[in-house]
Amino acid sequence: MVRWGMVIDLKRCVGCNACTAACKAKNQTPPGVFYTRVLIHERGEYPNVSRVFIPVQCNHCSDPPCVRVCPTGASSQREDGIVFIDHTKCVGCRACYVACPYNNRFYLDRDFIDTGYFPEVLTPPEKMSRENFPGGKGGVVVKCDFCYDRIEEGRDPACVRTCPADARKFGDLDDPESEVQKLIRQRHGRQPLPEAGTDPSIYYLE
Amino acid sequence: MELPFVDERREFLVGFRSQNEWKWLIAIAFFLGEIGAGTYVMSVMNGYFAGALVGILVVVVGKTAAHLLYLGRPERFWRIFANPTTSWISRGLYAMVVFAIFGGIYALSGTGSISWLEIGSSSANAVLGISLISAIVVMIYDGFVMAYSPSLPFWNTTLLPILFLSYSLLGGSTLTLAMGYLGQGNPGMITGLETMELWLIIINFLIIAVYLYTQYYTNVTARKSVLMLVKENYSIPFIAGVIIVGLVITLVMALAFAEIRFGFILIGLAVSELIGDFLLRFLILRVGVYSPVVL
Repeated sequence: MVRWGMVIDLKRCVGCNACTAACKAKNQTPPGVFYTRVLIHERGEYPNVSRVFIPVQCNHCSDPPCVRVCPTGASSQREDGIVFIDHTKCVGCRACYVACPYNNRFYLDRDFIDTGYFPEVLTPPEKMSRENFPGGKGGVVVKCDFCYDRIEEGRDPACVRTCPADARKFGDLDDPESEVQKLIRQRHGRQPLPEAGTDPSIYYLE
Repeated sequence: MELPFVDERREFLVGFRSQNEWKWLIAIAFFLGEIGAGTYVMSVMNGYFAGALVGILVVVVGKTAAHLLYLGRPERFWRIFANPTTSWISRGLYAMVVFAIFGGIYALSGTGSISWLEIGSSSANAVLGISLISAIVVMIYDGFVMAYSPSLPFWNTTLLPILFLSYSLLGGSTLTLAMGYLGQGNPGMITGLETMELWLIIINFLIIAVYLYTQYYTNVTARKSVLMLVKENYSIPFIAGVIIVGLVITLVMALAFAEIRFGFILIGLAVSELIGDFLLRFLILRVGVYSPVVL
C-alpha cells in the first residue's frame, strides 16, 4: 500500500517561498490562506545566531486528530494516507482547525468570494478561480491536499516540482527503496512535534 | 533565544500561536449549555420542575442558537449527527437531543402539563435517569471536545472536563437557588442549595488551582498558557473576574445570604457567579496556545 509523504531538506531550503507561490498559483487560494508557507526560525544568542527556514503545510498524519474530531466526516483519510476535506460536508465548526497541532488549516470566510489581492476589484483570473474554488461559497475549512490530482497523473505536488533548491522530495513512505525512505534513514529525518503522537508524513532533514 | 509569540503581523515566524477561531460565540454556547444542564440537574433533584424547564430552554434555545450563529454553513448542521464514533461534537449533539426529549417529558410531567407520566412511577424514574445521564454528558462533553486533541497542551488534560462539570453544577445550583428563592420555592430546597453552593465554590477553587499547577509543569506551551492567565495578557479578567468576582465575592455573598435572606444579595450572588462562570470558559478558550514547530 502506498503512503505518500515528503522529505524537506532544511539545509537546502533558501527561504525563497517559490513553493508558497507555486501552491497559491496551483490552488488559487485567496489572500491569507497558505496551504504551504515558509516559517523563519531565528536561533542562538548573539554572536552565535542562525536563521533556519522551515516550510510547513498539512502533514497528512497517519493518526490525524483533525479526522477524529470532525463531526460530519468531511475530513477523512484516503488509503494512500492523504488527509482530505470533502467541502460539501463541512459545516465550518472549525474543530479540525483547533485540533491540528501544526496549525496548518485555514478557515475560509463566506466573504472570501469578494476578497482579492487588489482593493475594490477582483481580477478576471481571481473571479474565475473563486467560482471554481473547492471551498465553494466559503464557510468551510481548507488545507493542502498534497496536490492529489497531480499525483494521480503521476506528477509531483506543485511545491515539490517548483523548489529551485530541490529541498523537497516526494514519494512513498511505505517503500523502503523509495528516495524519501532512503533519505529519512541516511540523514535521520525527523517529524515535526513528535510528542503530539500524530505520526506526520512529512520529515525534515537537518 | 526565547521563542516569540506569533500574531498576525509576524505570521511567518516560528513561535507560539494562539488559537483564534473558538472565541466568544463558542464560550457563550459552552456556558449556556453547561449552566442549562446544571440547572436541570439541580432543579429535578430538588423537585423544582419550573427550574428544570428553564434549564432545558437555556440549552435548547441558547446553546443551539450560539452554535448555529458560529457555524460557517449552518444550513448543513444536520451533518453533525454523522460521526459519533470518534467526534465529541457529534456525541454532544446526540446528548442534547436526548436531554431535550427526556428532560422535557419529565419536567412537563412534573409541572402537570403531561398527564400520562406519573412522577415517582418506574417509567418516570427511567425517563429521569436517561435525562440525568444525558444532562451530565451535555455538561461534560465540551471539556472532552477541547481535551481530546493534543494540539493545545493547556486543554489536553482530563481535568478540563472535570472543571467544566464542577462549574456547570455551580452555575446550575446558583440559577436554581435564585429562581427558587425569588419564585417562592420551598425553604428546604433553598437551605440545601445554599450548602451545595458553598461546597461547590470551594471545590471549583481547588480544581482551578490543581488545573493551573499541573499545567504549569506539563510542558513549555501549557506553561505559556498558564502565564497568560495569571501574569500576562488575560491576568486582569482572570484574577478579577474568575477568582475575585466569580469565587471570592460569590462565596462572601453565599455566606451573607445564609445569614440574611435578602433577595438583592441573592441577585448579586447569581450575577457574580455567572460572570465568573462565563469568563472562565472564555479565558480558557483564549489562552489555548499551539506549540511552535521547532526542529
